Amino acid sequence: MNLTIIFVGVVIVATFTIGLLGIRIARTTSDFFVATRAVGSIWNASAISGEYLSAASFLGIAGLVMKYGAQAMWFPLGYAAGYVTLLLFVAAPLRRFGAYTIPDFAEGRFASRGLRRIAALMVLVIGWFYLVPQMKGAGVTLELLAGAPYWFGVVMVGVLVVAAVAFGGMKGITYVQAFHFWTKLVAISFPALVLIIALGWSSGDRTPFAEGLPTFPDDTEVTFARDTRLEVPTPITVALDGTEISWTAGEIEVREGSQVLFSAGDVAPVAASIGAMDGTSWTVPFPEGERYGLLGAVSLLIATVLGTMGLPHILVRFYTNRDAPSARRTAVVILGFIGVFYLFPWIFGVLGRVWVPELYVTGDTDTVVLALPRLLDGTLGNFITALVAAGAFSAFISTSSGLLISVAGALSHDLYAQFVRPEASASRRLWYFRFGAVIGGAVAVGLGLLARPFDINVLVGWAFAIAASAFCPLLILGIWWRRLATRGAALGMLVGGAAATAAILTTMLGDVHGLLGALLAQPAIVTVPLAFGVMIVFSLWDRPPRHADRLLLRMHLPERAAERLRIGR
Amino acid sequence: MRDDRDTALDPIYLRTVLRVNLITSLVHLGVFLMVILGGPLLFWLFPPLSATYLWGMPLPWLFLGVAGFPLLVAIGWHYLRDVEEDEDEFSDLVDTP
Repeated sequence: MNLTIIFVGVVIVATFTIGLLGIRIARTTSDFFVATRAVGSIWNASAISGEYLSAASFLGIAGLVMKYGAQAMWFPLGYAAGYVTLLLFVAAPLRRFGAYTIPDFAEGRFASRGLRRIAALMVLVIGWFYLVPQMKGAGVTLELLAGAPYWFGVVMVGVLVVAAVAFGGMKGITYVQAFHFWTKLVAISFPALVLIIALGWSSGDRTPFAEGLPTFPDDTEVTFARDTRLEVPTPITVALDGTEISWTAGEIEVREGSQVLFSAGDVAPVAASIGAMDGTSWTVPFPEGERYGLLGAVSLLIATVLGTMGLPHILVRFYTNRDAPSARRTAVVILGFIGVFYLFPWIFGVLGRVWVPELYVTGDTDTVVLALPRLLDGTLGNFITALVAAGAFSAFISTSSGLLISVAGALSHDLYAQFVRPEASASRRLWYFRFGAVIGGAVAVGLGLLARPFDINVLVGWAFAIAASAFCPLLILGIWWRRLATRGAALGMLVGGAAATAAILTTMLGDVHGLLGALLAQPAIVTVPLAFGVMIVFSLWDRPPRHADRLLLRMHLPERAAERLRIGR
Repeated sequence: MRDDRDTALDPIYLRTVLRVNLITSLVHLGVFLMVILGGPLLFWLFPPLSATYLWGMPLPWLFLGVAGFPLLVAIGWHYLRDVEEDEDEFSDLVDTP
């Protein structure tokens, strides 16, 4: 425990120290918002990977794999695959265009401030959807490791990140984020290997891919943090608050604060919100009886493959590349970096099914990465637990600060300073930005307090779906199709973003089943083509914006040819 | 060279450079889609594949958890090589008076 506090403390102190060193280099206001472009590909790829690998990658993948098995294995590959489409269609042209943010691109490409406003609104929706699960991660982490109430972790990370963003800005953050990537890589890979060696894939006949339901490896005591409805698959005898009692197969309500002792070898009951899955369904990507499995998988892949390019905190970092070729190289290095990272998180999910089935009982599978190292004894156990906790905090802080910069920038620069106070001076704008960070952080903390029942990874998957629906069509058509018209772009962005957001809110608040339910839960397969369609149809009727040819040429002409033809950037 | 002459050349350059870049990207997109959508489709069409084990791991886990990542890097790396070659060629063409 003490070691955990030290490790997490080191991550936080290092974040502020590196960030503050960076501030001294950041002299101008534009340095503050976007780092000057003096960063090499390896540094930049580390920084982008550091910013990208969030609570979803560090905790969420393992949690979802433990819960749903192979069906959740689309996430890691999808998260990495988004960089391929970003590389093929966006990285180099966007770097040549010279826009910092997506709202900058929207205004610059179409000479329309209205388009900037719409893009900024979408940045807010995506940013908050993505920030909320980071807050949830912090809440459950401190709850498990320190026994703190859920709200404490949420508020703590919220305050830290607001402080880092309001006083750090972008330049410092490049190096902070690079540091975070290497922290996370060490903190996921080394513990995974140690756990495989120390615990092993299986204990006796209990193997992760065995046919039956998970059973307790040892006598296990579970304290319920809230009222929980359990599915009991087979009759078992437990000790409830010290009294022995038989549970028949079926559903059982357990009150908040109850302590239940389960016996080794018994089949673990499962929180009704998860539903028990036997090994046969858990092992395969398309279990029998799951009618819309393929639809869900393909729709999720579309969201991740096309959503990465629309993540505001990622795209802004491509501007810190020296030129278009190094932006492309950076994208390939990122693929390698995060490809190595993603080899590890799902291993925790697999081990979790064998070693900590009590997480099925409480429903807290999002904590499996933190729970497993606690099974190891002595110094090694303490060290690995501390390392994993440091990695988790590194994930919350790095992604949240990147997102909050985008959210604060959209609030202050794109919405307030552009429209309400266009005459404001540079130093005034800096204060608007800081104020925007406080507001953006407060909203994220508020929503984070409500987000406990939702899986981290599912929330992040939704942020990708909205990004894919609102921004992917704008970027792809804006970069590759000279005829894309201003009104078409605006309508498509609004329709795609609103449709995806509405579908997701319906899923969160309601309970829709069947085909419609599957589509509402994973809307990208419908909303992305819809947004493309709206943009194309309304552009065919319209005229392309002025200078479209010239802007496209600027984006696609290689550097050497551009110099020769004296086409300015 | 005067500016309006460049401007007059723009549409031709734009069409050429856009086409070359787009073709390179689309070819790699095709291979990428075969990997990323072909995988799920294969497992969906042939359920016995999901119950096939290699080194103690079911095939879908090996593909989604391990083998997919180097494939993505390979596609990215190959694209990088092609597109840099394309751009060099195009720049040489412009350089030749």
